[in-house]
Amino acid sequence: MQFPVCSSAHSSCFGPQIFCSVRLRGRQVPRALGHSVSTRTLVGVNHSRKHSSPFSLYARGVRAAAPSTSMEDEQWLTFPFLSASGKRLMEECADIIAKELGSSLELTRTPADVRHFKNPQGNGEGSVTLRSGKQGSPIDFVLGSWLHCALPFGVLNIATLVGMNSLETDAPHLLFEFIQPGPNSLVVVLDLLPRKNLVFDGEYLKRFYEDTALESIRQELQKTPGAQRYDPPTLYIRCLTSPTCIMYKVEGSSEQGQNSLDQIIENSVSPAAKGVINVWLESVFKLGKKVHDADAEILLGLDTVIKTKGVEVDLSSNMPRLFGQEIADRVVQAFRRGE
Amino acid sequence: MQFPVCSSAHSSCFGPQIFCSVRLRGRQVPRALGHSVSTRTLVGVNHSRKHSSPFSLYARGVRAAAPSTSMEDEQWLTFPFLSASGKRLMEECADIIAKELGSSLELTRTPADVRHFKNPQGNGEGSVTLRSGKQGSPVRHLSYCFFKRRSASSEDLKHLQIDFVLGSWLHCALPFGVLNIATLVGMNSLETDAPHLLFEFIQPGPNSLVVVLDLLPRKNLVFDGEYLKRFYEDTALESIRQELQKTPGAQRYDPPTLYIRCLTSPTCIMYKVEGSSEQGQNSLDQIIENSVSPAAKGVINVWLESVFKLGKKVHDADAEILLGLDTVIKTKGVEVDLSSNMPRLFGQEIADRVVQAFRRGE
Repeated sequence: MQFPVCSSAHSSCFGPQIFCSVRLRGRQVPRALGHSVSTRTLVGVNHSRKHSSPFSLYARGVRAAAPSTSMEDEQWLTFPFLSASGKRLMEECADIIAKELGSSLELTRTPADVRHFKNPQGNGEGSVTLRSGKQGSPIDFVLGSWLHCALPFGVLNIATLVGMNSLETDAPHLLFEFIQPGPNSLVVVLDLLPRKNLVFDGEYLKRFYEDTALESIRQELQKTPGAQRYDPPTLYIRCLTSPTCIMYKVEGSSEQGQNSLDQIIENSVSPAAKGVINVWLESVFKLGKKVHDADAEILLGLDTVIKTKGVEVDLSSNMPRLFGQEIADRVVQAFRRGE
Repeated sequence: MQFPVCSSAHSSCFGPQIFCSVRLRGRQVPRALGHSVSTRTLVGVNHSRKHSSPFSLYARGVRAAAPSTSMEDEQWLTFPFLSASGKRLMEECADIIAKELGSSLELTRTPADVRHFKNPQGNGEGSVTLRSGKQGSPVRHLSYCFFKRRSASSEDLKHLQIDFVLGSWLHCALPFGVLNIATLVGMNSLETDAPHLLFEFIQPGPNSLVVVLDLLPRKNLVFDGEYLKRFYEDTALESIRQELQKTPGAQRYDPPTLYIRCLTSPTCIMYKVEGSSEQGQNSLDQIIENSVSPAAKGVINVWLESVFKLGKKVHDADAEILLGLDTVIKTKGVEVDLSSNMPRLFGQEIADRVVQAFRRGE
């Protein structure tokens, strides 16, 4: 039975479609943290094909030998339902990530029915694609996803790019959400999620946030005509994001509709997104430092919280509205079982 | 020699005038935290009168016996340079705090030359007033110093949740106009885990206003979902913020110092409002009365509710971490503020002396 894998969004309360499928790589979580291994496997894998925990070396070997599809790195993600400008933006960003990370990334091993799925009602479809970082690389995984829903108020499109780092670096994670709740508006979320407590770690704050371009990128985007701050309804999400977090909604002019939004995407959103992605890449490859064993447990605890609470909150608040309570419950339970 | 005590603000980079004078009360900081006792005394006390550390029981006894001025609780703060509406707002808020905290607060013992001072240039003056939370009898205080868990009646505990409250204002005539900053702060003790109160009311000129209203969290909200729920998700803070956001002309205000953004809560209110230039102060006064005042009083009420109803006593196991966070809030809040703003208004030499005095703890 296929479960649609979608942390999808309700028209009035869409949270970021983040961490739809997660896989925890790197050092094994110490049991003392109280976090079971099982929650760290892929969400939404077709249940007729059982996958063992990613910590099973045998399964890892099997997967590495036989990737689901061969593909060129440059085409690992497409966004078929976005406008021309949105599609170009997301695909260019995905390309930048793939090119710059290059040999740090495995080819995708996401099953076909997760890379593309439709809901039973027939009004929603989506895609989730993961690529793991190679063992020893600073990348845990990168994820790209999109969701397309025809709802009474209009068509909802959510596109996401996530870069989760491993314990080989303390660099912050990348989060990029591009949400079009209709033809006339746009929500952009761009952030490097901190992996240290910034209140106590002034050096981390300085290295990644004060001394990089993030704040000036944010201020530049803020100047976009019609840009207003976007506040995620879930307070918890606000706690995970950085002090330079970009969260804006933009209303296009209603006469021009998609055209004016396209201009905003090309002139404002695109440079901001590429700017933040570049800071992330610079953080991973130049600014980041290897995590010492003493800090590893805390950092891993934070990474785990980001993934699990990010997914669970998202799934349990959004899935029922789009797919009904029964399917939502099954997806959340499957996620908690780790399959 | 008088040092002007002012974490004052530059026209383009004013940070909150927070924690201008701080005093750390309650349990003694373990040396392991690396935080010396000396940094926790009043900033800007006139150097010709040396005050010993607040942990000196003798000094505390002396101060308690002879407060600097007798005063009615209701008049502990005035704001002489604000517009009529701003003055009324800040004084009403100060009154609410004094009345509701009532017998939890000592009368002020802030020296007169900190409660009012002027800078040498003659274009700036200000005031800082502190009122400590009551600590109970000296015997009980001694118990605190040695980490003994003391038996106390619940009535006693009710009086101990406040570390101190602070009210301050700054008035500067600068080339671009007149700058007014007014601040109310409520710092809680370890008798409660309730968040601290921060209220800044800043008028960089006759046509604009910046409002900062927040309950500063004392736990790591990423890991403490219960704390997030108790004080932020289940209180009126977010709806107060959303209501204020509807004010015509209200825009989000981003403190230039990234660190300040890390200290504030997910429901933090930080907005700047431009009044219409034709009406000038009048339109701002309407905004103050119709939007800012209900928001400020709402947040203060949530703070009072947090302190007296929602807050829980801090267990010894958590005390060190919470105290560490409280200390960081005070020291980094003051030091960053002082070193970034004082030089611009008072010159580097005076700024250095104030920062050094703060670090020496006097």
